[in-house]
Amino acid sequence: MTVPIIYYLGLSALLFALGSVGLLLKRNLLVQFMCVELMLNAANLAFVAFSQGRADGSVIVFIVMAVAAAEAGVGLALVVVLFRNRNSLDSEDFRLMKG
Amino acid sequence: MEFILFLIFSFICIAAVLNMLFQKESVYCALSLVVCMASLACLYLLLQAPFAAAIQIIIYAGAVMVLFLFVIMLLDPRSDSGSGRPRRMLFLATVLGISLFAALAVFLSRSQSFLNSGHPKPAAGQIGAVEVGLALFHRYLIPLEAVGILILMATLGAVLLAKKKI
Repeated sequence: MTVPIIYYLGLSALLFALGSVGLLLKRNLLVQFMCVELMLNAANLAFVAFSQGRADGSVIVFIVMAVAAAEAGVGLALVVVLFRNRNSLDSEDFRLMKG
Repeated sequence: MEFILFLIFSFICIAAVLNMLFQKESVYCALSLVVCMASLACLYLLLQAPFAAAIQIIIYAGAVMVLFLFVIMLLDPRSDSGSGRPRRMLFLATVLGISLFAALAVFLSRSQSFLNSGHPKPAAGQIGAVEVGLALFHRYLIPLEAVGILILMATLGAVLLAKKKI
């Protein structure tokens, strides 16, 4: 018995929503970053589910993963620099722009 | 059988994500995200895409999460101050998450009818490294080169940012 595509898409939507909730609720910069990675993964699941039996989905997943790896490298370097300057990872502490 | 496997792995995935949301320690968050990504790789295998499953394990659960764990161990793991957001913020975030899920569900249920109507279902087959490689180096050659340049730039940027004096 095969699984309908809509179930995979529902799981993908649920993961994306949970990732966005985590991005808003968490205060640790690293954990917020992990939530962004989770949202990228949810989009990847939707790509693979939509392209059953075709290679395009896997190609796009490959490209998204390469972009995510680049993003993780630069983002984690930024987190390290921020921690070095402020000695904190709490996103509430970065409010220089707030009047 | 396939449906039971889908249920098992999606349950593991959602449980790991919920554990990540309610966890205070960032190391445990990273480890539960690894569990979530591994179960997503199993779902890719169910969707007949073994290449996507392999790179999910190697790149995400391997490289990216190891990078995260290194940074967590390098910095102070106790810096998460335990106290969450104020209650009003929690309520707002939950409402926003539920409404986002509802909007996505409506949109995707419409795209389901689009999928069924227009295109004939292609012959299902495993999408391994051969098919992906052919597509990657014929139709998607320019995006591949662009991604290569992007990764080179990201490497340079990370090295530049991590230097002592900016």
